[in-house]
Amino acid sequence: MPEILRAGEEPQRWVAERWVKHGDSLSIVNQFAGRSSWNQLSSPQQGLNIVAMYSLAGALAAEGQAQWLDATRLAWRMAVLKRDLRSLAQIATTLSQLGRGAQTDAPLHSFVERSFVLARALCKAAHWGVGEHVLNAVWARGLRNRGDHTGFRRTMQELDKPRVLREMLSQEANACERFQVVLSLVLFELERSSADSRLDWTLGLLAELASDSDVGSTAVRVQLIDTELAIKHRHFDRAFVGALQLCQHMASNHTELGCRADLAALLRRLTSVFAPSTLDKLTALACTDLYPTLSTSAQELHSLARDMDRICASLPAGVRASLPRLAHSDKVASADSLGVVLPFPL
Amino acid sequence: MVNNFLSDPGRETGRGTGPFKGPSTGSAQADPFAEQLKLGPLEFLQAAEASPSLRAMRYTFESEQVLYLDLALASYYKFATQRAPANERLNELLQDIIDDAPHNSLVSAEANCLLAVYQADEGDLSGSVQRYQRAIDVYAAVGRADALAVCFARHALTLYEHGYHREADRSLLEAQQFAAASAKPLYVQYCQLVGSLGAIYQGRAEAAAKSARALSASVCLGPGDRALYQAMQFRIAVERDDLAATESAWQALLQLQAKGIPVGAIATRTRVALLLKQGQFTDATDVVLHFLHGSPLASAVSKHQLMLDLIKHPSSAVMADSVKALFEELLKVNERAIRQDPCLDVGIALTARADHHDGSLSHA
Repeated sequence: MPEILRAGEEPQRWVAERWVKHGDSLSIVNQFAGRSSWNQLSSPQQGLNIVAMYSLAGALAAEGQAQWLDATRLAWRMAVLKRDLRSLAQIATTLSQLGRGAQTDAPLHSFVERSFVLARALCKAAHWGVGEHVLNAVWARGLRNRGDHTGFRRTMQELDKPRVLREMLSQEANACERFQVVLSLVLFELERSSADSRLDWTLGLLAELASDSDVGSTAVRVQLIDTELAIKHRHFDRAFVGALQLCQHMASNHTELGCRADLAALLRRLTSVFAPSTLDKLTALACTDLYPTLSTSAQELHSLARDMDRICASLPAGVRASLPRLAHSDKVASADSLGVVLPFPL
Repeated sequence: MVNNFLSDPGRETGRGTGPFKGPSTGSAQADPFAEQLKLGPLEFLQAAEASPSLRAMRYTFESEQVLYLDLALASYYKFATQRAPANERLNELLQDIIDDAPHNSLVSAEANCLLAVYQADEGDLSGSVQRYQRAIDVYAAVGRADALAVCFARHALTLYEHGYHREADRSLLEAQQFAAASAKPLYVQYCQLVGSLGAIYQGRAEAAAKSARALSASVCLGPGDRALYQAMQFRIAVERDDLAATESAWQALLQLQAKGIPVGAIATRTRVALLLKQGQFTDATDVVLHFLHGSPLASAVSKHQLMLDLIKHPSSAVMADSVKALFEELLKVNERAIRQDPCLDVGIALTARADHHDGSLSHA
């Protein structure tokens, strides 16, 4: 059941907490999908809170809501004004997760790849190891969903180090971030068929993190792993029932696009491993019913990219020099690229 | 809901009331499993059900003791939790026990009997009948009336579920006679339970109720069989439209579920029928999916019947296309798995006699 903002709770804190600590996009979107409601996030004393704004942008993007564009522009602008590199890295990380499936069209794919490079550069500029690990972990899963297993392994080899786990299990990372990294490590262990004891250990860690945290999509993600495990061990019934239960869950509940993309990829793996005769039917299902759609045009994406590049000009020169640009350099930025109409003054 | 697939049900806390209260550190604690099997298959099952950490114990046991431990593990997963970690290959585990154990040993016979249950539940009735027969031969050769009672009763239950009611009745009769000969109340009760379940499979609720009355509330059955008993009470109450009894039987099942014992196929099917009758199709779908996911070791026949109940219901038109397509696909695969050869001879018989037993097998 989605959480609701209760009387007396501070909206800025509530949004930030739901996103940063719980990854709970559904509750945020239920409460703040309409732009007029964003006024609640602006307090007279402090104005808009950056964390609340990038949390809102992240949640809207995760749920495929069209308003994610405006929220992202706004959050980016605020973070640049405050020269808050970690927040910028968070926003770029969210952008690197847009449309994580195989059917991402070319402009979105290009934008997503640039966002990933930008997010990594921002994490490095901010000396933020945890942020970089989370970025890599989520990016690796996207590569796997697209069938790029070489890319997945290469990215995961960077993560599969004692130092990384030490940092993730330190005080610096929260439960949501730990879960994201360990989830990818479990998939890595599943893929490379290493010793069962190591897989058991990471599965145990994942179970612990799942019970410790209340990440919005935790249960779904754990069940996805359960089904992956059944595929690995060639338990047809378990794998199929797992997929069926996930489909039912996603058909009757609002589920973030990332999970839908993961399930679509899982269905493709399931059909390729078990049932070649039914491949067409299930693959079609994966590509239509479940496949995440992000209603964003190439023009909108380019406008956002130019906007972000332009705003970045106000960052310190040292930082700016190390950052890649989001927009294609052959395009000339138009004067109205900052065209988002905000419901309140910045 | 957070799925608990990662936790080993055998490691749940609060179950350490049996003979083995913790992980073993060597051979000293291993022998009791062999001793329990000497007492009889149901005592062995109850010891397995009461042990808190079977899987952990496996890493500390010596090879010959692991046979008993693996048998306990396979029994526990099948009859107590209907669920095992995905990396367990229980059929192979049981086959290894049969290969490694001395021929005509109790552990080999019980592994055959258990493998028969596993095979039947996966749809291989022909292989299952052969396994039952091997177990019967060994138990007859060593003169174990109690074990023969369990073996015939499990065979009867298998046949009831697969629709071979006449042959099932015959096996049940054998089981009841051996149970009486063993003079052990636990075995007599187990046969009564199977008789009641058989009546339910045949749609004879009154006969089931009559048979169930013989089983008092103070049954000495283990938790897995007790759940079957409760499921039967639930079914009988529903058939009689007895709302109070229905609710109390369901609550009893939920209490067992809270202790890690699944409500089982009979109770789930009854519950689904109730929900469908009340027009709660989405809830019924969730219950079916929860059962399919939560009890992967339940029989293919019971899963098939449950899915049919749901998919054939007129309300299934509201089901999402993706979910319906997957259900239909799963049904098709299941149908192939449980299709039987119409000429299959499902009977088993006592072909060997012990020459050193105490006369307990003389009923036949």
